[in-house]
Amino acid sequence: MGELSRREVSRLGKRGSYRFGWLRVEGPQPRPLPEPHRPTFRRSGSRSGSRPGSRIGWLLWCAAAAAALGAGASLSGLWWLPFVAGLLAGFVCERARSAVVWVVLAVCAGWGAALWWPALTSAEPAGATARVVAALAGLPPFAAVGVVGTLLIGALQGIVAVWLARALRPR
Amino acid sequence: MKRTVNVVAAAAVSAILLAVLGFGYGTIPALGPALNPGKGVWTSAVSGKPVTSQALHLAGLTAPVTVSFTTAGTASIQAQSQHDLFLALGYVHARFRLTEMDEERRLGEGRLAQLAGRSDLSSDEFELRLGLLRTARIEWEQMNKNSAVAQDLLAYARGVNDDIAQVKAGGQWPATFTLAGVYPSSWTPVDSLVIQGELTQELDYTDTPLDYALLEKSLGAERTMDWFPVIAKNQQTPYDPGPYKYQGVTPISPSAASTVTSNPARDNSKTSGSTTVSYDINTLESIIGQARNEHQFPDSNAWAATTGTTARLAGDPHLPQTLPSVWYQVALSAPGYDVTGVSVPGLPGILIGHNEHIAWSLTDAQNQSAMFYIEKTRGDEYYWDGAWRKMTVVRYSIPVRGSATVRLTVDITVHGPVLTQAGQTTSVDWMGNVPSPDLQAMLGVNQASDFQQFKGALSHWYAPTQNFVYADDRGNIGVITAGYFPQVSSACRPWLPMSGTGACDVTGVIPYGAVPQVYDPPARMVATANQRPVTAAYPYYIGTSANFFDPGYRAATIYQGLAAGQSFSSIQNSTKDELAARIVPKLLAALQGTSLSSSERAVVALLTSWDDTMAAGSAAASVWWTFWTGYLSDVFQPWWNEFHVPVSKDRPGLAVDPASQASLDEDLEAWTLAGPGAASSEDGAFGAGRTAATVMRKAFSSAVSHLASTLGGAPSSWAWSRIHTRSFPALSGASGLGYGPRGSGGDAFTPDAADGDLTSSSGPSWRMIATLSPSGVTAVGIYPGGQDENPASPWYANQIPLWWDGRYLPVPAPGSVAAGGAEWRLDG
Repeated sequence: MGELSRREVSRLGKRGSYRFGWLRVEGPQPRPLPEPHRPTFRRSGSRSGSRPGSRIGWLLWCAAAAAALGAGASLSGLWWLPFVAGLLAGFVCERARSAVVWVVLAVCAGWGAALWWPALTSAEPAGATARVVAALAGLPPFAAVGVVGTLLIGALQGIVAVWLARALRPR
Repeated sequence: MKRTVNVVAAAAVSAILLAVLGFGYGTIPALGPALNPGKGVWTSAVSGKPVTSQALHLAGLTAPVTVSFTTAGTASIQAQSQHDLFLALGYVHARFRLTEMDEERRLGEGRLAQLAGRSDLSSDEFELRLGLLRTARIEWEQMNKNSAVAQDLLAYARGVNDDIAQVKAGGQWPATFTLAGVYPSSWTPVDSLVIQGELTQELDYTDTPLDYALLEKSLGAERTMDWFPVIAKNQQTPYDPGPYKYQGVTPISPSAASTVTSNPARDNSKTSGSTTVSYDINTLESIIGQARNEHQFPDSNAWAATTGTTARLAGDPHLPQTLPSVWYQVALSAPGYDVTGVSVPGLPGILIGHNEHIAWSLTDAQNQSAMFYIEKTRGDEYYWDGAWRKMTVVRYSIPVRGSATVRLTVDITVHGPVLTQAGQTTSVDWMGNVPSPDLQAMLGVNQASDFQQFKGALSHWYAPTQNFVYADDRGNIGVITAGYFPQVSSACRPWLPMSGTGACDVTGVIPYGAVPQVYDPPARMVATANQRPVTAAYPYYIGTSANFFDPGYRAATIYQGLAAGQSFSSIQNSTKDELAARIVPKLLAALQGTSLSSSERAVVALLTSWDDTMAAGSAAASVWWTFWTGYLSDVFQPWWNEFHVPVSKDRPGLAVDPASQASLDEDLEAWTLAGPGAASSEDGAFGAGRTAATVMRKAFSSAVSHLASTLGGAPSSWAWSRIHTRSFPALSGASGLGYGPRGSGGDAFTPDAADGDLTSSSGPSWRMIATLSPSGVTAVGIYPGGQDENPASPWYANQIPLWWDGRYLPVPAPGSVAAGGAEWRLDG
């Protein structure tokens, strides 16, 4: 092992030494060729800009999950589905933050739609009922409090489930 | 290692979260299923939708039934048999008031803690001790199951259970049940009888003798009897002025003894033993004020007047004003049964209303119905009628939400349930524990067509004792005070706890022919407003001035209004304070010639031009009430302080307060009107060197200073509504679901009564005016609330604005189809 190689070994475990398992060699590097200019309206720092289509996929999955959550709650009373969704997100998503955002959005959209749907289709007094729920729970008697409280129950399940999934996920 | 900790922590938090959400913890409900947007509490929104026309299937109906609704929500039920009528009524009651009905039966049956947790345990323990459930069971056991009333109760329960089954099948429970995760069990006739018992308790149960004992112990016997006498000191207008005749006593219904079967039966001849008793104050203090559901304010009005063959009747029972209301308005029609008015959810029939020929309303008689006994005990035995006897023991299990089940043992003597054995064993003989066929009587009233039938139906009404005001379509009017007036030996003092050894037992009740009553009085008018119904010449004991008999100011205002030809609605909504009319001239006289500040002179000008009405915008009203409160306090509070009256043990019963101490109001009124030196007691009460005039001047000055500091500005801006409000709290206790507080007129002495403190939540719970003539019977009515208990419903509080403005809605005639609203067609 030459001088350069021993120095590489001594850098093992140090911050910034490795990226994605790729051993970066210190010392003078060959200059990369300049990339050709590709005009775009996308912000230069945008992550998805480099991977067109992934945000739409993420949103589609989110919408599908929201529909499943809403339908599960409305039709079958499966109040624990947000937990299942959180587990899935935690395992599948690359980043924890992305999983949390995904599951919270899905729960809010799915459960929110389930709350709103009867008001839209059957003229049920959902707002007044939300106010009643808040008041009976001993909270300030505002419709928003009842709705937010309900969504929090779903979101909390999802977030805790993401945590569990991330903890169990093989590294 | 770090990863393991993370996995364990995440798994533990997940498990705890899911467990708590799924099953609840302690008093925290299972929020997961409860708040599930599709199936949880949100499904209660379905019943909050406006009622629409539809066809419904009800198991048990023998023929189609029609239920129509006015746009305000009043229901009219038309059936082809009485069975179907009460089945449909049970269904309608449950459809709109299931939570209220379940909570009320839980209150009476000692099952509130199962719903609400330990906070309601003491209420459950008290109710199970007192025995509404025991009495209801006895009533049902004794009832002939083939009788009309038993069949009506069964049909009614079937209707309630039809609704429960529908709700259960659809999962659309009222929000309270879903949130609590506790659901109502099937309805039974016993549940209805428990609700009847609860009404009786609310109107008839007081622990005034315990208060009396504390007052006597602190103030002394002479002072207590002087200030809380049997006959009030002030001038009143009893509706039955006599003449009276002593007719002996009638035994209490034999069935009463069987409330506790293993105890000796009531024997009216038992008068052996000592009448003297000494009581342990600590014991009395420990049991005082235990009842959550206790009679508190004596403020109902009912009167009738007649001209020619046209009679008119007005009634406004004053009760706690809650949302939902105690009342459900409905018109009922079936062959042989046509009646309209207000019903009580949980009970079949109409309590206040009219049929094709008569109208009636009720006020509370305010007589003493609970006698307290100090038992002589030895282990589990008590001494009665010359021998030691075993107490009957009844055991209960009380499920408590979030806690372990609590066991309760109730001991019962011949007098009734033992309220405590800590210190002195104290029991209560309460007329509400006498099995009383009230429903039979009420259904008889519903079908009566003249006074004889009306009076006959009420002859089996034992408790709560009520003044039943009557008018018919031939121009006749009357009142009869139906119910038990218990009597004891004249050697005993029933207004105090008495010896339990037998000498002071209830010997019987006033015979039905001798209870207060009038029929077609010469003045062609009669009014009851909870005043003592008879004069001092009445030959029976019915209670003391401290036993909640009203001081008579409302009755006086009503009689004055009738004599002056005022409209019934203006009398019903009157805020005239008769006590103010009597006292303010004395106050102004006392202030004459004295040195007054500019503010005080302005206030004197306000009082001088005042019409004695406690109108919301009246500044003089604020001055008057503040003055009278201070005057009362200035006279009596020094005595309370000196003799250490234990006010904290039962503030409503012991505090010097104008709204709850009618006796003291009456005393002070009498002393003030009598003038200096006219009453020997005046000098004694006012204290050395003080007279009514000097104390009034001081109270006036204090009132002006107080209002100037709290309200500021010119005296003319001190509107009564700035310091006096009414509120209608939600029965659930949820603060956001009530109405108010809102600045309001009225006080405890005005016909439009506002009971309690400066924020009132008790008063006219239903206002009705009926006009009866040979051409028919019509009525208008209103109550502060709405027909539907669901706060999301448009019928939750829709009638409050009308009630507030003193307006009325037509009472649907029985058999009529409500126009403009929805209609249900029910079939079996």
